[in-house]
Amino acid sequence: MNILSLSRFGCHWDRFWFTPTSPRNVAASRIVFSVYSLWVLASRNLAQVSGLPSDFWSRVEATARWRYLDFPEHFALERMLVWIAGIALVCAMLGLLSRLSCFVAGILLYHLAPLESIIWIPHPYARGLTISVLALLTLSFVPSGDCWALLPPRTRPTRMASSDYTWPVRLIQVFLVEIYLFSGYAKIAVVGWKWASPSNIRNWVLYCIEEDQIGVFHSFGAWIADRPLVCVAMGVGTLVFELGLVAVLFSKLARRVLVPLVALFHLAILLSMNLTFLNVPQLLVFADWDVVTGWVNGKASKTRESASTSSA
Amino acid sequence: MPAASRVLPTPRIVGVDADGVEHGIDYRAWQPLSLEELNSWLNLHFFKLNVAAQDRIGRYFLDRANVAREQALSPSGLAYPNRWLGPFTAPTHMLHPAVWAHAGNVPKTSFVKIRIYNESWSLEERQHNPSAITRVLAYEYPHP
Repeated sequence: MNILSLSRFGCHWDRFWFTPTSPRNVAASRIVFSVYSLWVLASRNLAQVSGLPSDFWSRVEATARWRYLDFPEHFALERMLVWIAGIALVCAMLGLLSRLSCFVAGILLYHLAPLESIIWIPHPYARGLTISVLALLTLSFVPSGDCWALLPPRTRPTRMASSDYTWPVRLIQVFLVEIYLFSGYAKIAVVGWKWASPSNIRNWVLYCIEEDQIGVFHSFGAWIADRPLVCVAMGVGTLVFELGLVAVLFSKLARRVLVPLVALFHLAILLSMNLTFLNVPQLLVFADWDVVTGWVNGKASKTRESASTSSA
Repeated sequence: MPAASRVLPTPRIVGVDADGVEHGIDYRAWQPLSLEELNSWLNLHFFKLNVAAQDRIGRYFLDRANVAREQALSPSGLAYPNRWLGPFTAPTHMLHPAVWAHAGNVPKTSFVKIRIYNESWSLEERQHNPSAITRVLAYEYPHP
């Protein structure tokens, strides 16, 4: 790589991470992640896992316990930590001491999230709080409370566009895209391209609709399983989609087209295979909140204008 | 397309009443554990425990199942992990049917025994016959 291309790469790098933007997108990320994390935290009884009979914990390795500081028989302590995490998330949502509340929530979720599965595997992946930990800790290093906050910092003047608001949102978007990229990579690395074969897709769909302990929706999956062409389209489409979603980081058009398709993709998986992907609301960090705000304000002013015209 | 031939052993815990009748148990009975985490733990670790430890867990399962059965029969019903959120509670990665959502589906008498089966089936056969399952009794508490 010559100097010229290095400097071009540097320009692209700077433009990607540090193009000045308004504080709205990072504030929206703070609100999206705190509301979402609060929902998942309130939906689990994580503290009670610490209070399970000790035989459940007998196969949990010391490395897992010390890595997350998760130990059995500390129900009261864990319940208190769940409450502190919940309060921190409410503060983050409202923009009260944003950096501190995001940091406290992120650290506590790092400790609490593995409790969901720790009795058999110390990795909380795909259970809803993995990206929340990364996102909240990222937000704790930036002034996400400069906008849409009940208690904006008094020491700082109202912020104009700044690169301080750009890189954290970009980083959170990268975290989200990685879910799909590495999911596609893992399918190819572990199973190979035959993962997309119609027989493999059909087997998975059949398993998910026949196992009556997980079967809630049946008919859509049965319809897919009966159609080899739909199965192969589903397999190939999933790989293309998962490996290609990285385009949303670089292209506005890809963002507008693919992000809504992601939500539809997960809806189809839910209805055909009874598998949920809780992170879907986090896709709101791909929205341009300046445009959304402008659209809402424009609509509100139009409504006011039409109301004043009709009253005149 | 090759025939679907995947055979997956899947654990299932059932409660047995005083008449010896087996009943399925609602996934919410196992709170704070979700069914998929519990099944994975059963597959990986439960059968490697010594008999005394297995029986302590068996006793715990029996108690949990009976407490949940009583809650399911009460006017408020069997609670979701968060009673305030109710059905808006965030689901786990796999959906599970709430088999005790209606009191009519809840066994009226206490369980006296818990059994754990390992189930497997041919995906092709079960597509046409939902009851075509091979069940192997892996554990029961109390022991016969």
